[in-house]
Amino acid sequence: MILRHAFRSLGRNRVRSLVTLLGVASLLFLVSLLVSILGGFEMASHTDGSERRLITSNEVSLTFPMPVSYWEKIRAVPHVVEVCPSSWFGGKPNGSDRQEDFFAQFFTDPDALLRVLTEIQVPPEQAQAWKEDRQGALVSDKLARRYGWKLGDRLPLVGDIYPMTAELNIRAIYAGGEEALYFHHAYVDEAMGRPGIVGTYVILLDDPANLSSVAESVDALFADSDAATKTQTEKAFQAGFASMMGNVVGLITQISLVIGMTILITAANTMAMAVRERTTELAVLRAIGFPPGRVLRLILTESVLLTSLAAFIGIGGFALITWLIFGVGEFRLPMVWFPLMLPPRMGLLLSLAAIAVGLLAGLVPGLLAARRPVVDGLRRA
Amino acid sequence: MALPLKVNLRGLLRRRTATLLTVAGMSLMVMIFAIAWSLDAGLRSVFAIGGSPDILIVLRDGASAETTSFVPRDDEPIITSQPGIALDPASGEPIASAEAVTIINQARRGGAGGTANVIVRGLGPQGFSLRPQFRIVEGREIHPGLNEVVAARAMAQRFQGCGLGETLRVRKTDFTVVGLFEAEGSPYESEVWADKTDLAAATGRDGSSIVLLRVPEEIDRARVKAAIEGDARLSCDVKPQQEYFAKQTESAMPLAMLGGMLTFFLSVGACFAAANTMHAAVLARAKEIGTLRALGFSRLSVMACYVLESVVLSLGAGVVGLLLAALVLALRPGYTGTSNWTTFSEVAFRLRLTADVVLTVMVTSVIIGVLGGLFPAWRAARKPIVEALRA
Repeated sequence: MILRHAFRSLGRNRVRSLVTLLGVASLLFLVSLLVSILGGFEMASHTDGSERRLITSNEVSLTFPMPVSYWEKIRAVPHVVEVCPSSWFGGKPNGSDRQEDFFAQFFTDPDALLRVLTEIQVPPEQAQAWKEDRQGALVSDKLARRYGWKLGDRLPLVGDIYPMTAELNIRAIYAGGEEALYFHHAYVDEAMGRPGIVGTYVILLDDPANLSSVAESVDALFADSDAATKTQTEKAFQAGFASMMGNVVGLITQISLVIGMTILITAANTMAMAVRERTTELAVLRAIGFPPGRVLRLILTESVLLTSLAAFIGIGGFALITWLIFGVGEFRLPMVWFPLMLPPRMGLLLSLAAIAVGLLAGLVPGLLAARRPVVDGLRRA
Repeated sequence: MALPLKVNLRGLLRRRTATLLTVAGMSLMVMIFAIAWSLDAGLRSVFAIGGSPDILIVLRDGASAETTSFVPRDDEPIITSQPGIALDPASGEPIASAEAVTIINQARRGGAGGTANVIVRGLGPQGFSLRPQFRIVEGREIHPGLNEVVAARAMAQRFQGCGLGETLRVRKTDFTVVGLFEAEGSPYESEVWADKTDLAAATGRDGSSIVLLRVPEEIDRARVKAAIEGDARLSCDVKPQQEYFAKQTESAMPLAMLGGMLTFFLSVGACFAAANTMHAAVLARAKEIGTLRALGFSRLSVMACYVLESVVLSLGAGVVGLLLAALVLALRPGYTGTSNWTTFSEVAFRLRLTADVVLTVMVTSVIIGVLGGLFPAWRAARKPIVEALRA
């Protein structure tokens, strides 16, 4: 009964309800967008299979390498299943230095890589072709789709860090995992005159329970050497990359809170106007025996209905649009290396927040209306 | 066209609660995008004042940043002996600085936690004199050979080990911070500077990352560039220093995107908020509108008045929003940082509420007011006189 009444009340001043609804919905759309950027950061620092992996890098920073001799030494540590040398190449595809053409490129050991990256799927004959071609490259299916690469295509990567151009042949395409390109460590090592250096080692363990003990034993191995190491979980390693964006997380959280406040003010304004307009009517309700609590409930329901509808349009609309864009096509924003998707959990949380804001917005006008003496309200006609 | 503007302005004041609530809501939205644009403006200004027009930077061929560049020691004399490079009047040596740039992973200060890449630059006396903006603000300059560093004041605030008297570890060597410097807001304010020989001993790296050359004459600059790039013994790129920094403004792209996104959606929200209030105003003043029309004011005048009323509302919100943004900036005067995607290190900058930002915000406010007021104003003007008077 109350819900029907609330619907009717909203329908009374259609323009106002619609304008408020769309205003709040556009703000909720924006908050969804912001939250999905945050969600993307979280997703970017978590891939399937990463829970059993450690990453070892030079203690000083990623720009300092480690000797290739660490490979065998780390492999001998108990609980280590496989170790894969993996170094950042940072080349420009076809010499293009546009920011959009920035993607992850690593030179690595093919056999070890395929064992360590448990989450990717490569057709066996392609994997074989990649291993056999010294200049072969393994690429993510998303990258291949974006650039229209096919097996056998040539791809020159002009080195930014290394003074060489890697002339690569696309030999294999993988599904799953993160967007990246992998090629042979041996190829770069030879072209650079065999310096025998490695940027990071990716370590696969037998059991996630051993992560911290193995990390400690690895770092202890090299503590006194020229290149001391820092071993951390893959998740922590990638979170470190995400934190390079600075305090984006804090910024977005603060912005979202302020937007929440503006929604509260907007909705409260509308409810105050609606209540003022209906002073007499509400007094009549009281006069025919409605208790004050019921009048309050009526107004709160109307307010919550308003913000819930706005949440449905704003948050639901965002989810639909992103699903259409990212679910079907391969659309990428420059510098954003993950698809923008609103995690369902966050969508739910936002909707709950919208309902809470609706309750708050209706509270003051509702209490005023419920407390107003009946006679006073009737006289205001 | 006669405009009964007074009626509208009084109307705003009469419906005080609604007007105040609307302005409050809208000004919060304005504040957010004003701050977002200040972030963008702050980061851009860092790179805009980075370079000097008469300085050339020599990088390894293909390297897009100092941090990925390498110039072998044997190449340095070939580069610095080019004719056209300014000479030091005292020593007769060319004014050139071969510098080594190292990235170290350093823990942040404060609650945010985590680590970020910090640039440590090794340079000699020429390097300091090539940056006239460099100024020690606390402590003293470094003495070579003692493993001392000076840190930018912004770095001292943001990173552990960078404060005056603290120690910064580069591989196995501890460097003492003996001074803090400022550099007029240039990208150097995101760095720590050490003596070149001390740093090379610590990193075990010979050679340099880049060479800076002062070439006062424009014709000479073109000649030096051609000579170095064409020399078969070298594989180097030569760029004007300003161009080098301009390229890095691309790091501001995510912030500009954020600013654009926030502005668009918040403006839509603010439009609706204005429309809501204006709609209520039109409803409440039906009789008044009818009277004005009966007195002979045209539909267009009535419409223009209500649009203007809406613009006054949104301009009010614009001013309050800017004041709020200025207040937020004044309360949090410190540095913020973001990743410089070219050098893979963190760049520190201040938020700047520049004239451009103020202008953008005010223009956006006017647009919000016009768009938000248009529909209610049209409804007001369209109403038949008799019906309006009877309401």
